Amino acid sequence: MMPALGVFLFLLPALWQGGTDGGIGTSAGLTYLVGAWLGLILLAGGVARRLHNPIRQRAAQQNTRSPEP
Amino acid sequence: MSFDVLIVTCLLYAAFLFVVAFAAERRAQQGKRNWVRSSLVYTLSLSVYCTAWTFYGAVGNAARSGLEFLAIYLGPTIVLLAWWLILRKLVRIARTQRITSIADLIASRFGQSNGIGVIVTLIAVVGTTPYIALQLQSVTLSFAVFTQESIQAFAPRDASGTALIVAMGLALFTILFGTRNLDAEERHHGVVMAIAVEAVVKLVALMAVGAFVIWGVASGPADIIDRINNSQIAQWHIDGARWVGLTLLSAAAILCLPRMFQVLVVECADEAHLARASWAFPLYLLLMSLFVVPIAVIGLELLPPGANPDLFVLTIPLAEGHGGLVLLAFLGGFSSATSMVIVAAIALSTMVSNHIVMPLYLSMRTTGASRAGDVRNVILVSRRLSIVGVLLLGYLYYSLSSGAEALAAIGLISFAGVAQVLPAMVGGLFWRGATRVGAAWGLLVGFAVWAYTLFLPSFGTSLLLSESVMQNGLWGLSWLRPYGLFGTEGLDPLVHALFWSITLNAAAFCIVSVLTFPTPLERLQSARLVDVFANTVGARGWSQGSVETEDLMIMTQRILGAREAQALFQEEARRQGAAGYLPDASPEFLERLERRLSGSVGSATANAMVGQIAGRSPTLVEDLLRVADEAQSILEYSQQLEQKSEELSRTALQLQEANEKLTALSVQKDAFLSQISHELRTPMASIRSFSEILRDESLGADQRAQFVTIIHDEALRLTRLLNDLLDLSVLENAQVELNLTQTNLSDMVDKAILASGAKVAKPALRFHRRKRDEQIMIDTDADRLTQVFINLISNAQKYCDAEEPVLRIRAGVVEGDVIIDFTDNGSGIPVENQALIFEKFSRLTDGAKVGGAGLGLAISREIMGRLGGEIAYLSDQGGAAFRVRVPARTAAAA
Repeated sequence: MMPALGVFLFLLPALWQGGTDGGIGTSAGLTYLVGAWLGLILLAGGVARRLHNPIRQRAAQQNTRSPEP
Repeated sequence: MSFDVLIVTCLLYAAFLFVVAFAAERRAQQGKRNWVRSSLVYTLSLSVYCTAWTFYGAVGNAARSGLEFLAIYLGPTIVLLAWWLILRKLVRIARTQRITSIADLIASRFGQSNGIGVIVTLIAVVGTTPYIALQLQSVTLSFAVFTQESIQAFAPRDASGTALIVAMGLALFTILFGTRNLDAEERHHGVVMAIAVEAVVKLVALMAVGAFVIWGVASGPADIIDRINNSQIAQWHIDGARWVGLTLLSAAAILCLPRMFQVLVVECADEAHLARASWAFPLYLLLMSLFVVPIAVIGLELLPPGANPDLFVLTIPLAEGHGGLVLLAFLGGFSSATSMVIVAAIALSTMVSNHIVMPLYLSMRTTGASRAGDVRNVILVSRRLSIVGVLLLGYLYYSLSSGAEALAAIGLISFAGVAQVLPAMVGGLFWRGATRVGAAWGLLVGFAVWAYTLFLPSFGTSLLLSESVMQNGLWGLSWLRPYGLFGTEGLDPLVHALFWSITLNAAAFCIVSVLTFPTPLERLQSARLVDVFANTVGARGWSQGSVETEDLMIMTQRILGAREAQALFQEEARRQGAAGYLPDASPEFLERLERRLSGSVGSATANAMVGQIAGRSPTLVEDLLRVADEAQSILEYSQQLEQKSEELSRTALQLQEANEKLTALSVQKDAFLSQISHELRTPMASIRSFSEILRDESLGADQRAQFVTIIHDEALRLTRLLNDLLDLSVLENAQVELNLTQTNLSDMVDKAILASGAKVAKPALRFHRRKRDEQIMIDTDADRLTQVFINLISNAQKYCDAEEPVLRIRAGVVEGDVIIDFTDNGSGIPVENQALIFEKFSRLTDGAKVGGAGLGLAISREIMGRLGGEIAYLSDQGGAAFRVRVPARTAAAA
């Protein structure tokens, strides 16, 4: 889900009309992208926090349960 | 600031990094890895993605084309957001398969194919070369900034010289860092640590310059936004195709770049690190790019129009007179360049030495079977040479294409080249139908298209591709123009090259994969890699397997025997200087032990056994296959032995039979010799005695005539006997000449009956014949055949024990052969004697009674052999029955 959202948000600027007459300026584009970027980072942080502990636990279980190579 | 200060600073910084790396390595060896291997260090080490290009080039790019540079960071962000799908799988595979590089991964996926490994290595080397050149260029340029009197004229005076010194310095640095020791897992704790430190330095440096620009030059964020809106790059003029292309390209590059694979996958100690990196690394990228646009805008404003925007990071503080900040910025750029070059050179040298140098070295060694003890040194030397070679290539590229490209453009060429590995890698990870041949085709096609449309043109039109090729296409074919394949005009060269190379690459990969079949090893590997999560549960950690020497001892005892095993272990313990009987399980000892064991159980088995106990990774498929091969060859060998022993016993049986026959014949021969001498003596005796009587004058004429007749008869009998013997001897020595004529069978039988005198003998033998069946013309030696018939008829007459003896003669034609059966109504021949009747000198009844010498049937058999036929005894015919088979046409003339 998240990568798809990222692709959508990041590729959206490709459709913007460039030009001199009142299109979206560089500063606005920068603001938009940085905002989207930060949003995704926060989202990923939340997901990672949730996934982090299960991975650790599973790894720990694995190490105690199967000492064989 | 003087140039000398700069040099000293660089050297001090390098020394500091070396100390950091050394300390980290030290800690890792002591087992205190928790800090060295934290997810923070992992995330920071990923920043090797941000090279001198980011540091200098992104600003230049922003100054030229606005926000386009951001795409280069958005791609990796997407990939890291998708870590659960792709990166986790890569890390798991790398861990279970002990993957050391991207070439290793792809080679391993396609059945441990070294050919694929070589292709990927070459692509990586060719694709990374421009990137290394880029780092050299940036460092050279930044040095040049300080050496020039005026910041307006940046053209480096002696660029090549500086670049060469930098390249040599970096090579030395990399060798010291990267090849100090060999690790089976290709982990470099020291290097990773040093890179993490460099990551902090470059981030701090760039942010410091950014902060200086925003709050020092401008007056805060709002002012900067105003200035951006009023600058040359205020307008949004991004080419949509290029934006998409760059985003996807950078996403591909973070997976495929050898150095990124090294830090992202190979150096990853824990899958949980990925989770943190998934948000922390995008954050790092965001911070790195946040100040790029302000710096570019201020640079454009402050500095004269001719200034190189690639160097704004240095030149703005320099122009403003902040010496300390300049130095920091310089160190940031220096860090970016060195970290990239070090990791890239390590990754490439691993690939080059593992996939090109070592296979060549091993194949050149004639004694390939015995494991060389100094391979370790060879590997180290080949790594070091590879590092020097890689940097030398980078330098060559730099001096060839010097000044032809802006920094970012070189980086993109490199990205696009390495991205050619993507279809084979992603396809190999998720599609089990992908085959080795398909991967090879895809890689080669993509690589060729990339080289033709992007790489070669980057040297300029004078060097490799002429102006006419660029304008009119290869061989004058306009649809082969490097910037306009198949008539796709007007596209940005990068997007154009990327589109065609990746499309053709993926197409070749898929089509050839569908058309070809994988080898068994490929199937196994594809199953292991594609379904890696089904095969391995959770993380296992990389703890060095603790080898139980006692277990090794027990195993060795089983194989070598107790005394020899103990002697071996004691000797080893003495060598290690340890007290007691058990040595430490050092790698050298394990190797020696394995070699020793392989003498007994085969190398593959020994390797697997020691590996099992030494707790190395689980036995690889390849190991199992090798064990299977050995077992197979042993099986084949034992089968051969079995076959030979069977042959031997068969021969022995035949010999035994022959011996029995010989013994029986010898007995018969002895018996016959006594018989024949008896036979010869009897007529001789009667001839002698009657001739003595004849010398007596007193005999009457009647008596005299009677005695003379007796003498005559006896002489005839002697003659007949001698004739038979002579006949047999002639026949046996193949000296007989056949007199072939066309003769009627019936005539021959008539003649034989007449000659045998059976009709006039007492008791007279009666004949049952069917004359009509006997009207057969035979092309044979009539006299010889008649002789056989006579023999059979007289035998019947002599031996038939019926009161009224009858001989039935039947003739017929079967498959071109004439068959004549002679059957009498006597009691026949006992079964135990049937095998002997055709042998010479054999006679079943007392010879004296019938006056034969036992040679008749032997002679008949010889004659039939000469005539191309045979004579056989037919059992169970109600009497003695002989079958004569003779070809209607005798082919053999001798």
